[in-house]
Amino acid sequence: MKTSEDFKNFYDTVLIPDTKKLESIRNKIIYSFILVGFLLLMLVTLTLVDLNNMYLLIKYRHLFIIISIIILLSITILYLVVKFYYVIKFKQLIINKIINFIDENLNYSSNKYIDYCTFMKSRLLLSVPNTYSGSDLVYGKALDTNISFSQLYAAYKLKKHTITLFKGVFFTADFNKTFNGQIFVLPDAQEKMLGHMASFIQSLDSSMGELVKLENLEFEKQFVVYADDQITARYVLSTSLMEKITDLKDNIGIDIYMSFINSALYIAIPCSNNIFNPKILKTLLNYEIIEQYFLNLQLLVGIIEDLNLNNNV
Amino acid sequence: MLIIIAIMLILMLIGAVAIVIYNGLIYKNNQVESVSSTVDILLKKRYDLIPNLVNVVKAYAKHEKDIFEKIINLRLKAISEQKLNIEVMSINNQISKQIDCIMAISENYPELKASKNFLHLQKTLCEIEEQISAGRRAYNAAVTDYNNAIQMFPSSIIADLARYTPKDLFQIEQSNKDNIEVKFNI
Repeated sequence: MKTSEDFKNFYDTVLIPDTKKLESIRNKIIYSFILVGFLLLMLVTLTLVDLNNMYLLIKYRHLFIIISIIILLSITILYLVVKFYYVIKFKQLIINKIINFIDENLNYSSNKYIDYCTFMKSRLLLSVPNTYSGSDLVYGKALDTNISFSQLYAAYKLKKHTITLFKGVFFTADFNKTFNGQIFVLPDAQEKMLGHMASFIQSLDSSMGELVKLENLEFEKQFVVYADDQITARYVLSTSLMEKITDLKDNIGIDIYMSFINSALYIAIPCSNNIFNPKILKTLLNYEIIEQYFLNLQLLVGIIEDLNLNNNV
Repeated sequence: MLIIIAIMLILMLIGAVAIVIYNGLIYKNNQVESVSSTVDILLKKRYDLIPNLVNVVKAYAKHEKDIFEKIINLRLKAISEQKLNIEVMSINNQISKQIDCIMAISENYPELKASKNFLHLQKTLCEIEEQISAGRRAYNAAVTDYNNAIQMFPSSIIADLARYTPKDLFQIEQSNKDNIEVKFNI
């Protein structure tokens, strides 16, 4: 896996010209907004200043409203178009290169995402979404292991509102052991609230299989495990893998949801932000901003080594 | 009259609780038996592979008679036991150690290491070892659950009446935790 030093060299030699190109686009977006905002302010100010001549304001009020709406719509359309262009360019020039730098066998496509069947195979959602979309698919073979991950959005749209079922990064890879069955590793919110009593309550929920109580105390505090077979669950969740999962969760910093189904691993990491998108208000000439994209992507690809997926049993 | 009804209701409640506890104990006991039989199947899978392993390695390392004899004798001893118990697990722990010895020996025979049969056996045995280890862990978890149930109040009362006794956990003996010492017969 590449280090931060390797990335610094890569940034200095390859990425700086691209960040400068993108920064000039970003500056144009901001300047254009400042200009339009200023014009709008001028228009409003002039109208308000002419209070002495209220007759004009009342006579031309419809024209004023129409002009204001046109300006606001123009600003919105301009913002969306330029942002869209900026985001596409950023992904082509920066994200694509970072992914190839991390591992040249990985591919990236900004408008593809993990397909619905693969997502549903994970069985991490208890409901079936009627809205499914995503972006930023990374796929390929890194360290001899097939992996893919992307941003995903799954929701259930009702008449009056929408229930978000999942929004974040979804990761899938071949597991390093062959097995049949399903094992779910979920965040243990009840253990944090109820302590030892949590096991009793969790054992009553059989929708995902039997409750599996494991020996690693730290792992048990953070996760609850359900499986359709106790032995298969322990075959998959070895003592070393439990430690690695706990460390991975600490590195990512938020709750993660995992399932192991028929020799495949699925990880759902809920997050509201798109980790591939640039932030319009932050300059790209700051190395730490670009480095954060590398660290996020490296963290995801690094799951292979972190969980030892490239060592087949 | 009211007192009689109240007493009857209390007795019915106690009876219901006793039935629930008793059923729970049966469930936990059956869990132990179920896991035990699965572990037994895994061990038998390994017994079936041992003669293949010995034949393949013997073709290249004819001198290592001691190890082959030891593992064959252990296998016969394990097969002769009717039911999985602590002694059978102890024999199997020794079998695991002998298999590790054979794998260590193979390092000294490059042709053996390159043999497809040997590589396939090695991979299969490794998988089965992992599954047996998982089975041991599952058995211990089931036994711990069962032992907790028969020793903790109030299920201990029902357990005593039903003559349930604690079960032993599968342990790895100290001698099996020690590093393998391989002596080459050259």
